[in-house]
Amino acid sequence: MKPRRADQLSAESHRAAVDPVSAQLVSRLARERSRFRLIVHVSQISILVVCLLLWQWLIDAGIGMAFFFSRPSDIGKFLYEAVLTGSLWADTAVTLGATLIGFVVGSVLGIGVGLIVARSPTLDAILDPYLGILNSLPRIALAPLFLLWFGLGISSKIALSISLVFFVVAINARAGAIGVPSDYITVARTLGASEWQRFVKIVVPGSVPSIFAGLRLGVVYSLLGVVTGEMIAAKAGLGVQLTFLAGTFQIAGVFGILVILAIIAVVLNWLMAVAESRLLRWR
Amino acid sequence: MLTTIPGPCYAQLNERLVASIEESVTAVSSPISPGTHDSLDVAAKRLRALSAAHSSGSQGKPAIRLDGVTHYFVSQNQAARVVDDISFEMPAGQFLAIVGPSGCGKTTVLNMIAGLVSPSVGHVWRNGSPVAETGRDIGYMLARDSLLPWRTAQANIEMGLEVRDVPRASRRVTAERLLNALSLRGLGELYPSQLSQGMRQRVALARTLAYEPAFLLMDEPFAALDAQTRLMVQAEFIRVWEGTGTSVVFVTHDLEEAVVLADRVMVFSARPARILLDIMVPLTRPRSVESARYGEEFDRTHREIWRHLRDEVVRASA
Repeated sequence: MKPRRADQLSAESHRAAVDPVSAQLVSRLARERSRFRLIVHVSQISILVVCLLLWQWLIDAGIGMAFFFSRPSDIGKFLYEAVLTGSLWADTAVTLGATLIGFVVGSVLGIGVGLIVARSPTLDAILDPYLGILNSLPRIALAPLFLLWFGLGISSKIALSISLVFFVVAINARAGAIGVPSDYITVARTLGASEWQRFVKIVVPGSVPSIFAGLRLGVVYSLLGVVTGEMIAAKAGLGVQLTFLAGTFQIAGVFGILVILAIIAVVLNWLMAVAESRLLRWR
Repeated sequence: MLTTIPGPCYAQLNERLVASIEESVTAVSSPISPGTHDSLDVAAKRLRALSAAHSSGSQGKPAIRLDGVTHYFVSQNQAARVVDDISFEMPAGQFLAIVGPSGCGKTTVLNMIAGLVSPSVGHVWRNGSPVAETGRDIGYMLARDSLLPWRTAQANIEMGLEVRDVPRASRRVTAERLLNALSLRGLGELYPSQLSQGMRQRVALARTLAYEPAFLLMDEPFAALDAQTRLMVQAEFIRVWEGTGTSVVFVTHDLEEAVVLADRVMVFSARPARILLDIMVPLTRPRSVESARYGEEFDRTHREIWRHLRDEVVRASA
């Protein structure tokens, strides 16, 4: 048999795809997959619509109490007006900004400390109880101190956010670095890699999956810390609006803020997922 | 291709000549007159001296030397002796296989040569200098491919060159050449998770060969492969290795593999490891891995090794 060239090979595989049975099987699989996706999406949207309609109907029919529960149409109106007048932009920007700053600073510190601690068993053993205690401490309880130290501006809620993000990221980074298979380190040593090269080329990339697990939690924690800080005391932010609206019984507004917070959380999670799939393409 | 070191290669050739002469001496000893036997014996001795002179002249020191090496595994409340007073020398360019029952300490000896473990007692020299750290003249390979999963096959192969600051273009050329030599053409951009076991182990082999180490230290490198793939990879490995002058220490539990691949086979005892047998393999080079296992020399060597090993295996499993 004559050796086949690459173009002939591709022509052959093309012919294989045209083979009627295989073509039929391939298109059947595609049909089944798209049908599955359709069912999932339609069901998801239906649940939301049914819940909203039920809510609206319960209030309109006078069965539920509009004063406590508001209703979807009022929430929609609140959000529509907020977008039109731009009344919530400043607060959204403050909350989002604080969340991002707290997340980035907390993550960078957390990754750094986690990796350094993992490199030295001695340091790890020394710091272990301190990290453990601080991490089990309910960090929200630190809010009054942060308010005293950093005031009512953006700094105190960033501090609260960092105190939450730092530990969850540090603990995951440490676990990731310790969990890097020792074979990788051995092979790197025999390849002639220096201590620093081993750290940069083996330990750091090897910890990325675990670090990302920490970052995914961290972004949620950061938003949590910022909004909680704002609810306790602050000059601006969605948390401030939330307590104000609840305190003045503007329930549609409260739900409106919750919707905005949910959108922020979803977008941040989505950004993390994109970054993760980029960095962990090899999985 | 990889560089050739002429000196040690001659030494190796001489040694093989000695071995083959000795072999013919034993084969023909009885029916031939004492005179012939003597002269052959003398020739063998002269050649051996020549070879020793050559290797010491060109290289100064043996490529690998172990002197009274003993090692203990220390745990909380006891120290167990795993290696017991091992001494040997190995000329450059030689392919030494170490066989022994499981858990006997073969890997520990290999790791001491690699500089990953330092002996409790005794000394290890590589190229005339005492082994302290791993150094940059060794290539080390395990049964587990231990490829970095976040690097493509090509980036894994380039790892050793990268830590040596070899420029990207020249790294690529080397990786490309090894991919072709080890039947991995066109697979450079794939990640380890996308490769079969056999391909992954070939990539690990390419990574080990890429920076042309003077020593290849291999710990059952093909043990995880299925029988057919193992044959293919062994053959490719020998084809790439032959003529490079690289010294090889190859730990295996597979006698057949040891005889087919190596110039010299050592049998270790059950723990603590001692050298029970140290013989030359009477097969010529270049050698075909496929056909080397069919023949009288192979059978005889295989039987001889197994005779020494069998009791140890029994002892180790008892």
